[in-house]
Amino acid sequence: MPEMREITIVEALREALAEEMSRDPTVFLMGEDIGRANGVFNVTAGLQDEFGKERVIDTPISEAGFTGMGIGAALTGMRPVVEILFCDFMTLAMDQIVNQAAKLYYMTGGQAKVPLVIRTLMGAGRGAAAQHSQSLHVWVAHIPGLKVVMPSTPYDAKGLLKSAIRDDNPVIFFEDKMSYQVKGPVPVGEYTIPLGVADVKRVGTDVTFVATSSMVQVALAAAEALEQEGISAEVVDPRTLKPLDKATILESVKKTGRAVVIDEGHLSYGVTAEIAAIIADEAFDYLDAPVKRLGAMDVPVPMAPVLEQATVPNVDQLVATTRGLFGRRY
Amino acid sequence: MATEIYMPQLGLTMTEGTVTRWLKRTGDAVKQGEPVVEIETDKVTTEIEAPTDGVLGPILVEEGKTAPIGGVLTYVLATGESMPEAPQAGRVAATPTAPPTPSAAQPSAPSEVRERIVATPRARRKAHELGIDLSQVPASGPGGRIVEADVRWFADQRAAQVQELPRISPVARRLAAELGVDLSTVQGTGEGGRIRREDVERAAAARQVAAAAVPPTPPPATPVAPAGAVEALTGVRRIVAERMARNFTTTPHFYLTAEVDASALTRMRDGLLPRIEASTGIRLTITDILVKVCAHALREHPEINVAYAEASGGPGLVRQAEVNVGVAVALEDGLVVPVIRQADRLSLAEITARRAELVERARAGKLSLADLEGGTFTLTNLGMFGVDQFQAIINAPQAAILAVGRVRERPVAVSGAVVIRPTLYLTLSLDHRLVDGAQGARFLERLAQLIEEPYLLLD
Repeated sequence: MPEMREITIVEALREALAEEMSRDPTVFLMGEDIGRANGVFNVTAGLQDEFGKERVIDTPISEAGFTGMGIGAALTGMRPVVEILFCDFMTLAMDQIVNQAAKLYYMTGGQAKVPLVIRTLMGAGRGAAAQHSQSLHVWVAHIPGLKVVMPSTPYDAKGLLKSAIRDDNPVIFFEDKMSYQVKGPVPVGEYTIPLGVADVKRVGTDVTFVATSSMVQVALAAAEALEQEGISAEVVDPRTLKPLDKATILESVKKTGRAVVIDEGHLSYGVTAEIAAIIADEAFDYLDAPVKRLGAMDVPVPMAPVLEQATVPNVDQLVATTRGLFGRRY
Repeated sequence: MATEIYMPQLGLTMTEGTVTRWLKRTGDAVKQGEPVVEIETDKVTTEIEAPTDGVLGPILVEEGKTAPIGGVLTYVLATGESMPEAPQAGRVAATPTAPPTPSAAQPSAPSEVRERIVATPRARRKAHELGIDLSQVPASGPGGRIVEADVRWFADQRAAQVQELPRISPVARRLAAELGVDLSTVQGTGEGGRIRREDVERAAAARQVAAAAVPPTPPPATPVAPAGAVEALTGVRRIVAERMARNFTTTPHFYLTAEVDASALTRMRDGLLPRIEASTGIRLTITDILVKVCAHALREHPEINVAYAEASGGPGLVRQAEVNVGVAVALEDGLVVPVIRQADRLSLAEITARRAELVERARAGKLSLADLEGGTFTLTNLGMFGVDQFQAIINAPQAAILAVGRVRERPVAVSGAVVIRPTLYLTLSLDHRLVDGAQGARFLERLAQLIEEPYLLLD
């Protein structure tokens, strides 16, 4: 067993970036305030001092421009890690992401590849209002040619970011702004986690919670509460939406017979709809209750903290929804 | 639309109930509110009424079988509505019959439109695996959906029923009857413990050996009762039988008796009766006044108003917050004890009205579990049957019961002279684990005092 220590997601991400930059000279970072200002959330703190201004580049506020530069650099053989501070600003770079990064490998018949990572932020909870609190990961998960990663723990964050950087495809890496200070055990030294492998965060027998990003913590807390009532919940964290580890999700649901899917994106047409549909389709004969979904309310995220909290899935909601899946108990 | 009749939850501790008697049969017309089936729990026997007008569907739980809370017992079908497939269909087909003649081999009638069964895919899959007909499975899921647990429960029940089948070969059964061998004493050596002919023969031989070894004894003083068919107790009778046996054997009783002058009591009744009858329409009884007396005394003697309980690792006691007096009511086939709650806070007129209502409901068999729960003390009066004095069995876990005999004029010594006074006998049965003689005596003394000087009820 390698030596373990408790670090935050921010520290785990910083370690992943530093290790990959040390390992591979083609890896470099671009984004707003990531260098001299150490990154708005401190993820890139100290990296400019360590690797220099040519590898940790402060950009103007110009998402379309520097995302395009990243794609160009990737086409020439570099491995850029571009930071779009809030995923709300991904809107500005959507042409570059959807029409260029996602398409070039296919349209050149495999002659060109785009080994680009876009790190960006999702999630409500900071009272940052409707333009800085969205969870738009499903937009990019919808586009063939893009990989989508959303870690929930420091261990996963580090291992997945290193794999994303080494991947030859464009990877959109979603970090949750409220989870940055979540601490967890991370081994000292090198390891990676392959993209497309889900993780069972808690073993249970009666219901499966498929939860992404910060919703994993919600699912774990709800599972503890339900344990008191005699309902044993299993928590599956897909970790990557693209590729999606259907096998682990289906295996769990086939065991428990019930599923609740929880994701912070808006409920309508969201990640939960996709995963619920897969379960209904491929585990139909194993279901002992309808598949339930919890997502953000279909309204722009409000700024007032009380209203903001009311729009995103929480533990009480998940507990109540789960109870509804069980009738008179034996 | 078939309406389900299911096992109701009649108390917090109830998990399942037993069907004791079907009052209606499959195909019978039923009216809403008409009793359809009699069920029994560990506490109460009750009838379930038809939820709607219609025709009774297939009986899914036979008499003597249990069902979990919410388990479907049968359906009420709308007139003209087709029934779900009869459960017997499979069994009939399995019975070897003469090969059908060509003329008999008619194409089966087009299958009737089957009642839609709401079951989860998982439950359907499990039922398919286990070969279970879902139309027989009671539903416990939200919205009356059959879920996997229901199918598993049904499978377990089915397995249990198979095990209950007597494992005795027909020859062994006949031989046992001929030789007078009690089969319950015979160890089976056949497959799965089946009792075979050899087992019965061996048991009969062993009995002869044993008889030969024992010196002849004189015939028993009392003749052995003629062997008649044993009749199983059912319904209220069975519950009374089980409870009384348990209460009497597990509760260490002791008894205190006193003769009480009932002059003031009868005067009080005669004086109040017309007033209470005018306001409630009900005639005041001695029992009503005694309920009031007991409640008053219990309020003053909380050490009697207690219940026995198992504490962790040993005996324990619960001090009751309320004074709830149960009144024993005789029925045709048993005994029930409806409870007058918070009797210490009720006026005599209120007690009278409440007692009359409960007795009427008890005689009509319409007591609810709530009427029977929560008693902290019991009063039983056999005075109206001409009984002078008797000892009652405590209604556990209560600590005491008061048995009251008739009011009768009896010779009493007063200041050196014999006078004739109406008196009655009070006999208190007490649980000696909770109450000692002196405590019980003080309580009895107070009861006597309140009866002899009822104005003390006003203090």
